[in-house]
Amino acid sequence: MSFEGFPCVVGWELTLACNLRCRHCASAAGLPRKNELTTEEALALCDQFPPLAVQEVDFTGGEPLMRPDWWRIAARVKELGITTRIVTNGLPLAPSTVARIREVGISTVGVSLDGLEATHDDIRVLPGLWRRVLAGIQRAVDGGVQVGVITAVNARNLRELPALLGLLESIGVRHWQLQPNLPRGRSGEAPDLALSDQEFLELGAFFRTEQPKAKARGFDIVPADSLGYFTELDLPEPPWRGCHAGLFAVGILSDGKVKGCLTMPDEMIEGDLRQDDLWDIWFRDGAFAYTRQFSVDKMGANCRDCALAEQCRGGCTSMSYVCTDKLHNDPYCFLGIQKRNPQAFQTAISMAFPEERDSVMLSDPLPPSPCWTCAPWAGFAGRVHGS
Amino acid sequence: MSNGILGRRPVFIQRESILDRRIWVYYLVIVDKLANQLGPVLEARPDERFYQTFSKHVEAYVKEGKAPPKAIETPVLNAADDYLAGRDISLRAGDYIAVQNFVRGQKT
Repeated sequence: MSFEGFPCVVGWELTLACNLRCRHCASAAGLPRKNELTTEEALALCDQFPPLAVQEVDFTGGEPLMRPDWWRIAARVKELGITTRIVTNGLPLAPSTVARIREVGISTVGVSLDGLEATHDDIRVLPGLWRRVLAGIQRAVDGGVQVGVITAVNARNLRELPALLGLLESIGVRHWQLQPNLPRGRSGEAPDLALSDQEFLELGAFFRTEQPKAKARGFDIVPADSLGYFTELDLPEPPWRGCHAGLFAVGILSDGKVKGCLTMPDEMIEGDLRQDDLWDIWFRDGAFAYTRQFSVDKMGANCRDCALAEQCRGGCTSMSYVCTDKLHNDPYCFLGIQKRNPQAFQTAISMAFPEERDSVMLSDPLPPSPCWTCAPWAGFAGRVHGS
Repeated sequence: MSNGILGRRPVFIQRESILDRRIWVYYLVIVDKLANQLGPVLEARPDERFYQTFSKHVEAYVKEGKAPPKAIETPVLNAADDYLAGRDISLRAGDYIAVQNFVRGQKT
């Protein structure tokens, strides 16, 4: 039977140009790609989405707001009745940009924030950036734009997550995505950012402890696809059922190349929109075979013998491939870590389910967090709660 | 502009097996409540060529008993069944794809 799914979610890299050179950038963004889509090509591409039942387009980069015509493309997608979101490093969130975001009807702005001030500025190699980003977030929130924050979690910022949670809630953010470090691009050349097994599990423990409590407060903490699966550190719902690249998600690069997911390496390009329509690339026989023609015998050694192999399909495709050169072989699956390092897993469990504590305590705790209610973020070095 | 018996907003039903996946966590993708927005029925918005072509063949079958082209025989008959039974016309994903491929394969 032919494939009958649709690319409900499109990730669209508007440009690879970026005004930052972050140490952890998996896209190694900076300069634009050669021959990026023109405005006319991008607008024409938008018109290909409705017949494919696209429900949501997420603009990323690089820094998508650096593309001068970003708002024309976003407005076109919105006119077609499709939800639009945009991910930014926060630097371009000037009042005029916030106003334009609201004007074109972008549903959510995702802003990258990778820790507290010193850590964020160090990872993103720009002193003073953290304060400018938070000012941008505040402008967006005050301007009525829904803001989500994305944190690329690494060994440098892992233990700042509790303080970051308090900060985000205090400034009106309601969505927070935790994205484990993907050792690709510049991140692949920054071993100090790499998460160990223990640290991966600590991230899981933080999520497992804080997500339900935050949700009760109206704050969503969401794990990226590469965080999980099938242990006590995961929430039972929704269950992980494998990578969705090429099943109902697709990634479009700024030069018109198409992948199942933008995090995948270039050898996984499925087509070129300058040569074929998205419809033809999506429904081409043999396309996206790694997910559409998955079978357990294609799994790597990390996953092949797992009792949940059929359901899990080997975790995050990009994490598998980047870390092991194999598909369906996620080395950071909690269940896999539990098997090879039961002691680390037990430590994480004790963090996630402490008998008497009501919040997760990471193994190297920070000093008492500032009280975000009392101290505005701009002066967060001020009062310390309870001291 | 009327599209005859097809109406303006045909929908197709997506397979259950696709829908129950965790869909709202992507690298560098905003996450919120998209999962709640996707149901078993997705709305597609094909272009006018789709409406005109499909409507033409459904009407020809219903009104004149004219057999549709083989490539879209099943979708046309299913749509005709819906119409004759007084139901809103909906298309299974496979039928929708078949019609789209048929329309796209025709020279403009």
